[in-house]
Amino acid sequence: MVKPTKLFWKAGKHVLRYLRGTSRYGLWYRQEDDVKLCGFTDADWVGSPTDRKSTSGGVFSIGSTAVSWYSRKQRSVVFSSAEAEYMAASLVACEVIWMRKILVGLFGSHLDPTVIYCDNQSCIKLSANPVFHDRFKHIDIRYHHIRDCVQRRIMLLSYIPTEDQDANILTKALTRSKFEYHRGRIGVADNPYLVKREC
Amino acid sequence: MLIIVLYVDDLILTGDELLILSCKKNLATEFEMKDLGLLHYFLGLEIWQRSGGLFVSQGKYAREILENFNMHGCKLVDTPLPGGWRKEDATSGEEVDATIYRQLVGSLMYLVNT
Repeated sequence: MVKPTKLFWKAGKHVLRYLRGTSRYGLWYRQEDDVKLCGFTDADWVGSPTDRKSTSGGVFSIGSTAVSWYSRKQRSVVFSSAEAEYMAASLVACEVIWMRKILVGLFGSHLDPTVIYCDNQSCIKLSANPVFHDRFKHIDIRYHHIRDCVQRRIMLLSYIPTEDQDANILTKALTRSKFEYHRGRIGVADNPYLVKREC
Repeated sequence: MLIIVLYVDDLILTGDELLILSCKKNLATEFEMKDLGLLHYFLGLEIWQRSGGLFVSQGKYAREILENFNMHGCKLVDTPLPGGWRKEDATSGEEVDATIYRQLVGSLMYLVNT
């Protein structure tokens, strides 16, 4: 930000070019029968080549459209992708607690554990099994908060193949086809009401 | 049930139809109010309410940014970041006007965060 170069400016303009093609896009919340809160969590491993930190991405949907999302660089360097995912999942745990509070406050109903989809098997195992793992000795207590959440049935991690991992879109640049696929799946669409009117 | 969302001096009411009507009546006796009908624009968000769905978009603000940076006639791309773009490559090279660059980043960040 102090000394922007031409390449940064170009990247900025690239975003504007994208924006121009999608300025009519938005989130489309359709009336559905099965309306449930669910989430996706993902992390890219050492995505930043300068300091080797990873990026956490997460998206929450109610029904089939996103209501909350984030893409955040992690604060510390990790050794494995499972660890990066584990840290991302701990961020999700905090969000889940907050979102469930709102839902209970609004509708006052009992909520089943919120399903969070993750594409890393070791991360899921780690969250469900409170055994002391040798390889995860160094992970800070703060990240083990997620185990507590799983045990208290606030949330549970469930496996999803990488192709259907919608939080992928929030961790790194994707190819066009993948980008559009995930974008559609989180409920982003061209304004359906505008299109109909023009026809 | 009736939910009232309050932002500074704007109110959004949602919930049971009859309750909304009586609440509006009661509020109007107490405060000076204007009823703008069905919600269609709030804090930069365009809201389209139709039977069977609801669509939320920031198109107006996005187009304002494009106007500000004279990009309303630019070429289109499919993804927000060019493939293979690396931050390290961009740290050296010719410098550009920092003020305009910051304005651009600021506008985009506002768009993302609202």
